[in-house]
Amino acid sequence: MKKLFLFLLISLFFLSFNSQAQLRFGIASMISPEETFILYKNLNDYISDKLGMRMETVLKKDYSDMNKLIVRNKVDFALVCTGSFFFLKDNEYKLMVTPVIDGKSTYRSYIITNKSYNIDNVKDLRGKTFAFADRLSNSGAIYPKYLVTKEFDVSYENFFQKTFYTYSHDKSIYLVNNGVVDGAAVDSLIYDYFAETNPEKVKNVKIIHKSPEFPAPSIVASEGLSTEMYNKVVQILLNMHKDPRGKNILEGLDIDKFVATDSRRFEEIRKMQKIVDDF
Amino acid sequence: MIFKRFLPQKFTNRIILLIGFLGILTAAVNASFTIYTNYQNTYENVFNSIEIQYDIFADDFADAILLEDIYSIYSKVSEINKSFDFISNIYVLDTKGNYFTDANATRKIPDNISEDITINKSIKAGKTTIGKIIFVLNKDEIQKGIFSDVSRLVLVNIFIVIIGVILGIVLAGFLSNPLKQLSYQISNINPMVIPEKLHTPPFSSYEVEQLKNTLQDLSNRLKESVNQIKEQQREISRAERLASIGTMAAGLAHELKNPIMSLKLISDTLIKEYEGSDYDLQKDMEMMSSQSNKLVKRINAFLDYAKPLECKIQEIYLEDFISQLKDTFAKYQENIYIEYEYMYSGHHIINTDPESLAHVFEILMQNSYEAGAEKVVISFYLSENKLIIKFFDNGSGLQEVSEDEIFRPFFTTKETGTGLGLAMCDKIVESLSGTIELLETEYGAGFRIEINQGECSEQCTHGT
Repeated sequence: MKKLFLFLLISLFFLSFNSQAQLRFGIASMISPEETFILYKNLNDYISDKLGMRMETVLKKDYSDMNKLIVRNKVDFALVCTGSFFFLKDNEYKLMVTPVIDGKSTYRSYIITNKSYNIDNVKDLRGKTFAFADRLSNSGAIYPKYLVTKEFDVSYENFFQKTFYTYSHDKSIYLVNNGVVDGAAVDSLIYDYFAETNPEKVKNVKIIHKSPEFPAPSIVASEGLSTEMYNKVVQILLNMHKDPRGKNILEGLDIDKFVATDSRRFEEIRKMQKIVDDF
Repeated sequence: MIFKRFLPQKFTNRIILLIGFLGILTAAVNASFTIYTNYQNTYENVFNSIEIQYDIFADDFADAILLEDIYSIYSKVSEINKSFDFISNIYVLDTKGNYFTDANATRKIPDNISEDITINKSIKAGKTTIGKIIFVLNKDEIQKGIFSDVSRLVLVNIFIVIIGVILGIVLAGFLSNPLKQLSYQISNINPMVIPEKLHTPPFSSYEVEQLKNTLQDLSNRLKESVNQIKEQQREISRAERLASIGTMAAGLAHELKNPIMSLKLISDTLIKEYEGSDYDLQKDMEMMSSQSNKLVKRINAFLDYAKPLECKIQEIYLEDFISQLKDTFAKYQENIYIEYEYMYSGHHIINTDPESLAHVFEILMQNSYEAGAEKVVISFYLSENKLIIKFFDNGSGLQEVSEDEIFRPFFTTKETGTGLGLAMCDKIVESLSGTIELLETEYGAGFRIEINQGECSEQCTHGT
């Protein structure tokens, strides 16, 4: 009886140890969860293999949900939209790396519309229906709201006839492509990725406005992640493009490489958010 | 009548026409019924399909309306719209009844939507209506589907009709073949060898077999009739020959009668002249006179037989006729005991020529007398409009004589008979529409005379 009790105790210890050894990689879906999972599974597995630890991918549709997981240390690190971590306090996250795409670690917000609607500029969208992505998305919500406020001195609620939140850039593209809404604001990285890999999804779409370049969505770590593990993951990601397997995975994600980033690069976005909030 | 005008003459063509007509009628009824049921079922299926889709997505629609999740609503209605050809569009209205989205992204509800076939469904959160879905049916697509189904069916029916007509042609040939064979055999019948046995194929129908049997029966009857006609022709020919011979003989007898009478007159004169003087001559003349008498008697009997009979039918009580007969036979009472038997009761009127009939019995009675008969029995019967009289005597009889011979003219068993007595009886009875026949008896002679009361021969005339 004693032996059995001892065996159970040891088993519980190892189970506990193993659960401690598992990392959780969070991804706030900028595209649909299924597509996100398929694209980022290889990245998840690569980091897991390099660390020699099991890793679990945690997907959240809503950016704010992912922010909550980061704050509560329910994920160790996460890929989040540029705009969303401005809603985190400085002591709640640590920036890790930013992807470089087509030689740049920046992206834009595209204001898109359907080709058949004769909308040629943002002004033509007045009184039309418009789709935002997530409320916390820079390219999908903060920038277009800022743009309307700045350009037309009117709140987006009064500028557009009706607005919707799709919580996903690919859904916004889908709705515009099918003519369901007049316009939408989407992440240029995602739009360009579709335009390159699946042109059918954007065949009816035209871009009527491109924002200035913003720092690309980054991978951030929660405060709970140990410095050692933080450094390990950062090093893996920074060197990934040097490894053939890593390079192959990055090509699948249309990423050249990861580079270290600086929080000062995001100040411009923070200002835009403030203008919108203050209007 | 118009129908008869267009009715084909050939049996084969009639069967083909019948099968073709039935095939087309069946196809038409089948197509009509299918169109009706297909129309009903198609719309029923459409309504059911929409109901099912609504049931599946009702909760999702409610959530999406509440969250203003246009993507979820649009992607779902678009998916439903693409999945079902019979839906032309699906409109979604929000809580206030304003346009929210539609499956074809037309962006507005058309004014004439009410003219289309629509199915409206409420989007509910609990018991509260928070939106509405309008399914607009594509009438053209539905009707195209129905038309497509019906077209396929019509083609199948046309195929069946064609197959039916082809089978009908084969069947018509199969059915009409026995009739054709029968017809061919009948048209090629050799009238000289009837009845010819008719043949039908082993698969012939009952009716054809009956027709064949009927035709064979007719053929047999035809043969009998032909034989009868041939026999009658022979009889007529013989009768005509006899009649011409009789006429010739009667003329000859009449011609002979005068010289014989002259001979008799001369011989009687010579007998008187040479009475007592020349005995031999007298005897010879007496012989000549006697033979002359005999010849005249026979010539008279022959002339009586040859003379056409003229009987006068009249109504007479049977008792009166028998009474007349008794008077006539009174002269035989000394030699013959005559017994009359009445095999009937009551008084009866008979239709006959009493004199002619009495003459028949006179001949029979004379024959009985000459045959040495001592007793004669005459029986009278009345049966089914017939008068039957049987005559029996106990004379020497008619041994080994057939009925055919005994009634033949000039046939006699007596040395001095003319052979015309019974022939005369036969002739008279026949003229009275009756028959006389010889009866077989242990001794003596017996005759049966039957006179039909309702008929009359051509020689007879009705009197009063």
